Amino acid sequence: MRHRKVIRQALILLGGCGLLALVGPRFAAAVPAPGTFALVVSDNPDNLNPYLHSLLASQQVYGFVFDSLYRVDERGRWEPALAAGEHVSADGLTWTYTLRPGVRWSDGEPLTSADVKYTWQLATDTGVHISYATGFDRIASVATPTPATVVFHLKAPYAPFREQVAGAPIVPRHLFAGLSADEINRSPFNRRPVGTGPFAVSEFVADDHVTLRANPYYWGPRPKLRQIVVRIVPDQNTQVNLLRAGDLSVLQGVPPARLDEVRRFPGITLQRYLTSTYALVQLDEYQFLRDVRVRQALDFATPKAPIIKDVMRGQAAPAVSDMVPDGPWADRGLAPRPYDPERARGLLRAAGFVRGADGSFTKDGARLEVPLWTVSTRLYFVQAMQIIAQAWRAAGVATDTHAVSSAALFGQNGPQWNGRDAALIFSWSQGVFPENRINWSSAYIPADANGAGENAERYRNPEMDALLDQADAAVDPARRLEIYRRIQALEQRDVPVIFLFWYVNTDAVAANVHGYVATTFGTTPPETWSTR
Amino acid sequence: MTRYVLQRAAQAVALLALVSLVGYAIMNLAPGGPLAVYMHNPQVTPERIAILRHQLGFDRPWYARYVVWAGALLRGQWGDSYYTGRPVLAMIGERLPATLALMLSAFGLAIALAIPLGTFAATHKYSWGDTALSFGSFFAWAMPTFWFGLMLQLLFAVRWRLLPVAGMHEVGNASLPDLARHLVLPALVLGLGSIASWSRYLRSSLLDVLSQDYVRTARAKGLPEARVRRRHMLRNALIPIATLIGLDLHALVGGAVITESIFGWPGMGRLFLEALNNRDYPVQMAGLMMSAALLVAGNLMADLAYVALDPRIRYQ
Repeated sequence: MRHRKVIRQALILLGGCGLLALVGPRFAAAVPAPGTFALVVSDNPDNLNPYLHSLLASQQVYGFVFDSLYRVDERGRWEPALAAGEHVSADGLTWTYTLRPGVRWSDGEPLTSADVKYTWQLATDTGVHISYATGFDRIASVATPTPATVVFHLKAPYAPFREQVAGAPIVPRHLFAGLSADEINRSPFNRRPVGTGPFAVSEFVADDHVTLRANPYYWGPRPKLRQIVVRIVPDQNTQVNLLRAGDLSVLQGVPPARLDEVRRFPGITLQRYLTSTYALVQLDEYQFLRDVRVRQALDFATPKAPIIKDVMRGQAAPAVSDMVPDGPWADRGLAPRPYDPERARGLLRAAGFVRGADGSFTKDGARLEVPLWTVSTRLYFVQAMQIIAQAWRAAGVATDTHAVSSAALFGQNGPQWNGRDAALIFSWSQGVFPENRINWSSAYIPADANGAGENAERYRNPEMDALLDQADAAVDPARRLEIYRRIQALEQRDVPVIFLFWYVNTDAVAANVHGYVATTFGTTPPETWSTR
Repeated sequence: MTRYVLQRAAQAVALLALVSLVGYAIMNLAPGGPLAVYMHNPQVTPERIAILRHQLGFDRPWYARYVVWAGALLRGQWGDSYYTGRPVLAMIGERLPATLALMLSAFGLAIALAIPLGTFAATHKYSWGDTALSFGSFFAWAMPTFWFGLMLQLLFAVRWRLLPVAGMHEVGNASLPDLARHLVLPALVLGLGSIASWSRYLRSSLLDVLSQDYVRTARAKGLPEARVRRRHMLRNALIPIATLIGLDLHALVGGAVITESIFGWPGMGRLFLEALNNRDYPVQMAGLMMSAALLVAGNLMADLAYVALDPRIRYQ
């Protein structure tokens, strides 16, 4: 009896606390001080040298610090940054840039063509732990006839040069000259970099925050902000709480599950945009999947619309190729195959399959079995996998489902290397640029889990290989666009993978933020952001 | 006694060597690896991954790398992180103050509250206070840390704006009062579990002691009740608690992953979790070895504490 009384008292106490929490006083959310822009990243930036990092969080920080010769604006257009002009020779082998006059590093030293040349030397230094150097390996030599002129001589015409090299961050030679590769790997520069961008790192507290102050030597318009504070908080719920408490100016990529709630936060506006990451079903071509009709049938048998609507809650857009629909390379004339199980069955029959008593198709005594695999850590992939499995079974394809760790999915003992047909669901960050050689070229079929290349689906088509070669060499933009249209048509016809959807991101922006606009291609320049 | 300690120390060295070998082997034989982070990045070419593999020595078998790593460790070199390129010791050193501040606060809070609460519950067996404490302990014990942490954030930081949501300091303010404000919620969340379990252990331990002859004798010879509790009951009842505290000692440096993640606390737990996710072997091994060493040391210290708490215990 007495115990009941105590339990009752404890429950009343708990209930009282709960009630107080619900109806107790609310204090208005503050915002970061004027002149301060606060954002949050999930990981501790591992390395702020643009050529040595491995994490997106590092890129989110050093993006404020460095400039490239050319840059992409928020509408996807190229504009000169450190370069004042560009000239490409008719044979596509020589790219000449004139540097913008008067540019200084954030330590006050002048930028010269020697810095641009050194960036190439750093990126191709095999002693340094370089991770990002695509395109630099196509350069035969770099000449610096004047301090304001830099000339790249290429080994062969290379159309993606502007995206890969002219769009790459330039690093200061004077801080690296004389350092050994090992010293560069451990340099203090990796935490306190010096760049020509609008902001410079003034403080880096590991796992806590990075503070960037306006660079007094910045060549462009004087930044409107005094400082940018990048907080490092791994928990997404805490990130939402920070936004709600008024500690953030922007929360980039609101978790879809919290979107409805965030929409109701006072003083917060949402910006929705397409990302350049797509979700796919990779079809590993070992047995029956080598037949294009089987792959086309699976594409017809995959219901993409319910996945976008019900699983992704509308935070996704239909995909038809690997070119982001907002971008200049997408062929908007292509449409995804509709969900049509009858056409799928027709294609399978045309490929010589017959439907057995259990409803599954067989050919020469072998059943058409395509097991589905995905990563267990992404709930939406697991849900999408169940929808696809159900639809494939209805279409007559025997399938079972496996949700495993990423290491197990892509590792040597995983489904990609057992010599049997399999379908893997995952995502790929393609970026807004069209280069996709490592995905579709037969030269990039990896021999094992550690092998070179991303064409693990083992897709082979000499026509595609030839087009990829031509695309790399097509310096003329119109010609290049035409080739990438043909590549997309082949992707659509051959179905090396089933394109499921493009991810949509939503940024939550505080009321006092001005000038911040996020798109598929990035944001408005940070020097134009302000908080009042 | 000295001989006993030396014997235990020798055992500990052998044990740590075994832990390092098994840990290194498991880590290296697990699928994935430090370069997996680059594998699905279109901007990192397969050729570049091959160069990185050679630079980091992954073209050699794991046991050959283990020998190099263990040799360097014996010379006091903990290696460099694969990702930051920085010495592992420097990375640990910059997180140690934050970890110690949080863990010592939680530890202090737990000891300061668990002992009086456990004593009260035992000496007021089946009273309303004991029942309430039991209820509270089980409630605290059953609550998931992440949920409790987020609820506290919502109430104290978002709704009432009394305390900060996350972090260790306001930017540009490294004062002690600011640190204390930031410590309140994570230390409370972290300490609560220990308060709940330690007070329960102490209660049951004290209940055992209460019925002992020497307690009755102490009371019979007219000692004040406070002295009976402090000298005769509590001291004997603390032995199991000393074991628990000894076994928890490694967490002082190892950090607390969930609490640190929720409160954005820049501690060791997050460092080691990131190292695990990235397969940053040198940092991973440092975390493993530090935890193992402190676990062994904590165990030894608990054994030695028994002697101080109970003079009847002797080690040969």
